[in-house]
Amino acid sequence: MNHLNDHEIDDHNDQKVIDQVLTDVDPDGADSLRPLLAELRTLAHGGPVEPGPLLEALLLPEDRPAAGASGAPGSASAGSGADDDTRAVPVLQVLEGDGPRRPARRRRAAQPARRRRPLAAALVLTAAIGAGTAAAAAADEGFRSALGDGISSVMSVLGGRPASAPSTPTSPAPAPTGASAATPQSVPSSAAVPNAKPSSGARAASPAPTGPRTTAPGAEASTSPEAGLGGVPSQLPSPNLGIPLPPLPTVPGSLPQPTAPAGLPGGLP
Amino acid sequence: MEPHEDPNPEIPTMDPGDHAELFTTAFRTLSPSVHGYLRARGVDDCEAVTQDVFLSLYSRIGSLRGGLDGAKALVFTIAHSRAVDHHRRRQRTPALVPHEPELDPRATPATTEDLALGTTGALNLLNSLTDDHREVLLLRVVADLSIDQTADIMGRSTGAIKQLQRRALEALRSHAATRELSAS
Repeated sequence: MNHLNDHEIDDHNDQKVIDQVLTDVDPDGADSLRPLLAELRTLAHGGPVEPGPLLEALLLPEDRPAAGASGAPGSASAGSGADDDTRAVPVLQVLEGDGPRRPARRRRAAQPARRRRPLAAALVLTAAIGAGTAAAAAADEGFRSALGDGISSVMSVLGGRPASAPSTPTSPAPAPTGASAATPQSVPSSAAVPNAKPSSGARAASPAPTGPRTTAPGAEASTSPEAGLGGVPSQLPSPNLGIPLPPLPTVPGSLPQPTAPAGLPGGLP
Repeated sequence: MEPHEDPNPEIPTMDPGDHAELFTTAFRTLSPSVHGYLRARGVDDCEAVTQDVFLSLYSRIGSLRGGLDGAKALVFTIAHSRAVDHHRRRQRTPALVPHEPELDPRATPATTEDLALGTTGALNLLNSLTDDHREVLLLRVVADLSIDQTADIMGRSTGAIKQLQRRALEALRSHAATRELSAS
């Protein structure tokens, strides 16, 4: 067994192991068994096992003195200092979760980073949605015009002008035509009435219930709303609302003829 | 009764609370011998099983007592169980593994020199033994476990382990002598 002589038993620990196994063996038999056991012992000195990803995450860094890379088991507790404890604890306890030995201070220190994570994600998501909405809105012409109107109305309110001023050129367009159409009709009818009732001079002398009976038949159809209100021209709706003015009721007496407001666009001559 | 033997008197007692350091030390100190033990037991993919053994050790390291010596006993207990499981599984469902000539005891040597060298390897010597003899020698020599630890792992008494070890050594010597004579 010459090849067994090639394997030198240079490890003192190996020699001790073999001696312990051969304790009860007679010396002659031990001499013949010693090289065989030495060869068996070489199985314990195989190549280092490369740790996998999961196992490597559980191990301490390679440069630690307690790594046992030299093979001396006696160096196992050489690096058990206070500094080593601070480096050793997170490796195990992050994987174990909140173990009983984990200090509460470390748990509290690790929590803010976890809490900020959803907040940061929400901010990023909101910013992305806002940017997309702004881009889509900027591409829409209607949105831009509405936005311009809104800004101008706000500026007008802040500046003291009526809020509806910017929109007057478009909305009250039908109003002048209605008013101008109603006024010529009411003027002749009201002009005929004073001739029929010249004695009723005061407005208070003609109460509202008697109004319809004294109204001329030609103006009967257009008297209902404003006649119930007493036919006060000052309470007529503003021409700014854009509603065509109904013909004025004919009130017996010497009521002044209603005149169109001076501020009507496209007013009467 | 054999006097108490300390299998590794150089190993100091470690702080039981420093599990990370103990686990790292156990892996870097014991993983080669665990790998050799599993290889000698004929386990397929020894490196993967070795890592599985140490992952199992990690899950139990909280209740471990005895420092690195206790970790060694526990590691080889787990490795022994893995080897037993492997052979039971192989008996039920034969697995197809790639052929490795250096691990195949049926290999026919090409030359006389190959014959002389090939039949004297440690694995060949172990393969000539029975399962119990091979196991006790592996646990005592490769794993460097004491009689008591070996008895605990194999589920036998210390006296039975001593007797088994004695017979295993006799069988090993006789097989080695037979092969030496046949080679010459």
